[in-house]
Amino acid sequence: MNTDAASAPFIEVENLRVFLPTGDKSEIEAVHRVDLVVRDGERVGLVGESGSGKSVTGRAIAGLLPTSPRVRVSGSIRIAGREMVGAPREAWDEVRRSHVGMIFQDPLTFLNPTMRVGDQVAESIPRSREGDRTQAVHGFLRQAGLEDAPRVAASFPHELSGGMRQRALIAIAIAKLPSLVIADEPTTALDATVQARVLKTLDETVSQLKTSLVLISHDLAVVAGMTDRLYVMYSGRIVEEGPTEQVLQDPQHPYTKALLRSVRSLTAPGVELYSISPQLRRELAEAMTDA
Amino acid sequence: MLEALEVTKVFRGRHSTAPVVAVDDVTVRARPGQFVAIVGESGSGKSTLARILLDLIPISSGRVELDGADLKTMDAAARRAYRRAVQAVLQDPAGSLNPRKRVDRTIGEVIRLHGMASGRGVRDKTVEVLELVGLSPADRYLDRFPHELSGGQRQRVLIARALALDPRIIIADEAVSALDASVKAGVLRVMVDLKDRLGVGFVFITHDLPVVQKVADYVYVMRNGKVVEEGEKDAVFEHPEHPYTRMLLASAPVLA
Repeated sequence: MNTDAASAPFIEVENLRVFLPTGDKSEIEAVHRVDLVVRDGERVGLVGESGSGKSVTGRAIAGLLPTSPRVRVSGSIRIAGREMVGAPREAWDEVRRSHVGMIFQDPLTFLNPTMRVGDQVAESIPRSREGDRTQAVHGFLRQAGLEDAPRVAASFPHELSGGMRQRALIAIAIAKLPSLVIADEPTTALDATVQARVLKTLDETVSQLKTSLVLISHDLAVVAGMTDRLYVMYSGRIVEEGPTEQVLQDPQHPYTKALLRSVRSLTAPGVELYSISPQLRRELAEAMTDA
Repeated sequence: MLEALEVTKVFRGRHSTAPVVAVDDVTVRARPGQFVAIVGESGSGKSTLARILLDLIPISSGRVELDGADLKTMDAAARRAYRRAVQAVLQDPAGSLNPRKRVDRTIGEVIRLHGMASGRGVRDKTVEVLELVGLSPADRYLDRFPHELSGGQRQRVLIARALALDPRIIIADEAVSALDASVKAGVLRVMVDLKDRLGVGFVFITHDLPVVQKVADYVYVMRNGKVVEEGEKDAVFEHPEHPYTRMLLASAPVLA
């Protein structure tokens, strides 16, 4: 897939706008003029509060927005050099089949309940791949941290625990040897110890395969430990972007500063609990309508 | 003081499955003016324990006592008083609020039902508890429906509804887990404030360890239905004894 210019980012999003219908025949602009790039092998974090537009952005990049004429997308999403805004469904299918793996918060909605896990992993392996497919399936399950691969492969999703399902999704996502994995709140529903193990698994598999990663989460601590570069979203906009370390240590935007202050106030001893004031939110909203 | 003493809860197996011991010989204590945390993961029995403390399910053995009075031997009036004194704030504020009731009705009905006030007093009490949880000025919130409130505001309405009954202990089961950091900080501040100003006690049931470290006075760690470790917050966080506690502490991602 690196047939195009090797220097071009794998994902290039420019001036992306997404309008979603609301109940009363009007629409809201969920994503407003977003620019975003993901280079080969890069790990990018997309953080924001609920309603910030981070998940809608992630779904747009994966071509998974609802297919309704009332969902409007404009701007540009180039994946491996190919323009995807307005592309036919087959083109998106091809991108997802061979380039982009996805992991979402609720694995049950993405796993087929009537199909054994092993068959779902096998489906994901490119047909061109040679060798024993059963061995390959077990290999991917093990790589996703499921040591008892033969048993897991023979199981249906409902027979697995939450953490194992999430790992099964990782196995399915990596089995296609994707150039990019998009993970949207992959561990939010999991217990802390399970979350730690799943994140470690994701970290290791992405490193081994040299896959790019877009990690979307409201949890800054999770994203901070996993990514090289950070985009901070608020109210449908990217308000700040930069190397993860730099954004965390030296935030520039008032929203990023307030967000970090509130996150740190939840853990730092002796610091008063801080929540972003309605006053600041009003000011941010005003600044955005001016822009 | 609210106490669960050597409490065991066994759920009978369905069909041919074996019975499940959800809570196994557990003793926990909560005092007004104290922030007690019960920490555990899925299947630890912490939510079952919450339902036991709220008198929502019967126990298999042991005792639940409020100021030394055994819940089992209470008459109907004493039991009603218990249910006023021990209030719940649960995880999903949207699911715990009737979408068709405005805030004033949601809280006013509870006040009237329990005879906490009548006539004009109902509205005064409603305004008082809304102001206490920081929904101020209360007039702005009285005629709102749940869908017209943010997640943090809904959680505050639930706390206000609990406060309307002058509780001594509030059982908060994952009450802030689903909230964004900023909103979580705001709701926690309300709880700490109520503890300090009104002397309300909190039993905080959660898997969110950083939050426990921030606000708790005393910590119980549960696993597989048992309390595996307990102690003053600082002692548990600085010198965790049980390997499971150490693993939990190591698992929590913290932003430097």
